[in-house]
Amino acid sequence: MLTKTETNVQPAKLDEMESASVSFFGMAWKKLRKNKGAMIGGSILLFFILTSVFAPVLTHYPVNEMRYDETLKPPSREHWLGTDEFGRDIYTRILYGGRVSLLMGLVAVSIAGSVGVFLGVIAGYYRRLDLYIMQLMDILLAFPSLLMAIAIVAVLGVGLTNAMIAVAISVIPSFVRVVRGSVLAVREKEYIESARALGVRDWKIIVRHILPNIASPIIVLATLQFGVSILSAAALSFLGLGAQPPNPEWGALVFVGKSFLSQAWWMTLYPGLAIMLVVLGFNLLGDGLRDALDPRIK
Amino acid sequence: MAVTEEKELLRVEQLCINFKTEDGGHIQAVKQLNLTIKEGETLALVGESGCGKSVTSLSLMRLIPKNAGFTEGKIIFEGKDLNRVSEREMRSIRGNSMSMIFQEPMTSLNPVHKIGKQIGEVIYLHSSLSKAQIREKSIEMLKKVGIPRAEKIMDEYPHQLSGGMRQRVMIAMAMACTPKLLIADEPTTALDVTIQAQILELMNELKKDFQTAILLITHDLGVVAEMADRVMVMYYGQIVEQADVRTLLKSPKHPYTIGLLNSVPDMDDESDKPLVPIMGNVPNLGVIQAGCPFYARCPQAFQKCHLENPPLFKLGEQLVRCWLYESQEVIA
Amino acid sequence: MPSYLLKRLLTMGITLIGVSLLVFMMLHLIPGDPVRYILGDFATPESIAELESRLGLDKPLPMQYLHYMAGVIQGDLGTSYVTGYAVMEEIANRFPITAQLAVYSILFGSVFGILIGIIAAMKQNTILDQLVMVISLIGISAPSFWIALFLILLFAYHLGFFPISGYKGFYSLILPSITLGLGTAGNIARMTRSSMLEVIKQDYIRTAQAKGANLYRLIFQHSLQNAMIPVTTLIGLQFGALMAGAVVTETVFALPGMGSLIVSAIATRDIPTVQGLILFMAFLFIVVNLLVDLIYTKLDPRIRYE
Repeated sequence: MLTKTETNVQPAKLDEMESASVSFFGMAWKKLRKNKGAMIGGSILLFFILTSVFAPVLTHYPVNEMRYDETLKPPSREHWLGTDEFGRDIYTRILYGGRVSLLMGLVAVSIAGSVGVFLGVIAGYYRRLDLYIMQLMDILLAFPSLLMAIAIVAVLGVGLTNAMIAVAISVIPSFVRVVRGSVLAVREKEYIESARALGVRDWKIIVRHILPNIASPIIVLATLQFGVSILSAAALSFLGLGAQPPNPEWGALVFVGKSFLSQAWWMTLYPGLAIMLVVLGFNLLGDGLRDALDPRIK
Repeated sequence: MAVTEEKELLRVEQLCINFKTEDGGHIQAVKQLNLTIKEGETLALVGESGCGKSVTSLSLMRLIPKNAGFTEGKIIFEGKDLNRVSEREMRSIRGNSMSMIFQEPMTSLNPVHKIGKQIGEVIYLHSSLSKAQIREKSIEMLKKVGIPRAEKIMDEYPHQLSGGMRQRVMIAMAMACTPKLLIADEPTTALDVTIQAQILELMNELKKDFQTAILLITHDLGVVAEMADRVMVMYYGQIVEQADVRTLLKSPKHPYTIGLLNSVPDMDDESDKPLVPIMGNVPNLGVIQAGCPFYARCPQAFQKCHLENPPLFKLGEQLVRCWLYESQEVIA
Repeated sequence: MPSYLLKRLLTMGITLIGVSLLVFMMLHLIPGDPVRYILGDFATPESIAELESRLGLDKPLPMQYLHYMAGVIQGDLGTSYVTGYAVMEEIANRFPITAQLAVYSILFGSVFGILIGIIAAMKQNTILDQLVMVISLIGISAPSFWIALFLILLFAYHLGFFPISGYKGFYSLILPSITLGLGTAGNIARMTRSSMLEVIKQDYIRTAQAKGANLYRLIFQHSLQNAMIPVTTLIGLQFGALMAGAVVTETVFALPGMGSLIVSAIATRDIPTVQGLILFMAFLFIVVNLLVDLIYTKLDPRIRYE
């Protein structure tokens, strides 16, 4: 309840602070800190990032060690989250799988983000190319994103790397749309006009004036798409089109667990829970960032 | 011109309106306001924006959201204290014996419903007429407010009408159940000048036809001169001057009223005297101060104004909240 | 209006041609020779040449495309490399299941989502509101295949309420529809809530209150239709997500729909089937979004397509 009233104070305070020329991102950070959801989301993500990075320290089982006397054991003191059909420790596999899943999300968002920002800026800034780029995006958007990823995997072939590329391509259109819209809004501003009138070069205007001003929506979108990408990548693995067992990617773990569902529910439950929590973390953080960075969008 | 010997329709006693603040406290937007409206009378409530006049009108209809603020005092309408009646009873009063029109005709009508449906609703809510009768009555009301092609308008949407037309529709809606009291909150502010005059004329006509009392909320003294029988000037949540319309316009007493009149161009005046704006702004409501709230802007302020908020003094039929008239009888 | 529709149909046609071109090019870039795949490693050069000319693969790519599109216009999407059936026939067989699944899950997701969205908006900033929002976010974040597995485990395997897999009529679509509709419900609930909160602040709601309308009227007569305008867009967009989700859900529940067909067709490199399915699904998606735009005019009289 207390946080509610505090967030209500923000608009007035924001005005004061802005006039006192405190940095925009400093303000946003303060606002974000008061957003309970964003802080919970951020903590979840931090937890999973740390556990992935320090996986070897957090477990004494090797990730792929098979022990035939320990197969399909339920959660216990020795195996916190149980073991799989080859006696591998599920907890260990989820720790290492986090590396794969988070990396897939990171790579997909990085590729899609850079290509999307590039195309979006070009479409928004050089209006002559706008029509062509947006027509292409409309064609790409005619595929629901996961379907598109599936189609791309069909072309590139099954596998982890290809799944990553496929997911990246499937989220490019949403980046292009958002970036183009923001560029269109910014390029009409007086300071851009005056920079152009002064003969400043296009790339300089783009880098110095446009990109910093469209950073907020890109950050918000990237955060939300991070979750979406992990979910899509997991779905591809689950369909057998992405990461292949024995890779401990979370979707692949669920894929394997499926066959043992009635005997060993823990093989399916925990990796799925990990996916859900991480995606939830990105969604919570993304919502919070949107409120903090861009009060106009609801 | 002033209507005398009429029955009292509304009496507001010691009305206080409080708004909750973020830190759990509250600020008083309206302070111990008293007012009465007689049947068929037009009372104008005048003041700058932020003086509490719109809030007062909303509180009479009990339309201030519960989570935003609360009101104290008595609102006695046709013998009932509206602050004590049930929500159900209040709903049977709203739109029926007490109705309201708002400043923004552009946004006050629901964009997705046809005009006929929106007028019909208020009749449906407060009568037991059949569908056909409701339609007939709606068309009749549209004709009464001077809308040509009333039948056709019934099936049109608000966005197809001009601002003046929409305000006419709002008036038709408000008058559909022949209310005893019509609250008009800046009814012409958003309209073109020529349309303004038409709407005011319409309201005066309807008032005569329906014997409806009007509480007119406005900042425009021209509108006041056109419409009002009596005037109350509000400043910082308080009544600072009250008189019948002639007295007030001819011989204003409170420095604020005088300032308001001096800042309006007078068409009849040939003398070309310059307009004098009132300096400064209405102080923030949250700021608690001991003296007269107009002190900082008042050209005639003296020591006492700074220390103590004046009570209302009585000068004949006129009430003034100003230390300049301290020798007079104290009302409240 | 008709001219608008014409324009929309025209851009729709251009988009579809673009989609077909893209899919065609993509699939013909697939490494690996489909003919070899069909005939196996020990095929004679003669039989390979014979099959290539029968499939039209010996012609140049642009010719192949034009030939393919000429067929598409006549409702012929080619022949499956694997089963030898016409792709159109396969789609026609499997479409009803996917369509049912999509309709049920949209229904479930919309009704449930709109309902809890309204409740959350009405109880804004209460525990109930926060609970509803957290649950919707979990519904959006949880992988559908994972939820599906546990629904199967509980309701089909342990309780025996539903068949574990396969298609045996409406009954076997209940769990898949719930699985698929959950994410939709979460998205719609969030959108409904914020949209309702936005509408409630509008002047015309105050007007309705001043007319003496009660809370029920305020919500259902005066707010809901206005609030549904952005929600409708979302439902249209969700339809695309649903078709993609159907791929996963049909696979988990072993339903013989278009989604499971596409997965198996990819696995067997059955290019005509993959191509036909993707084209068909993109077509459906575009048509649904056109329909959504037309529904707008009913919801919001301010929008007129000229």
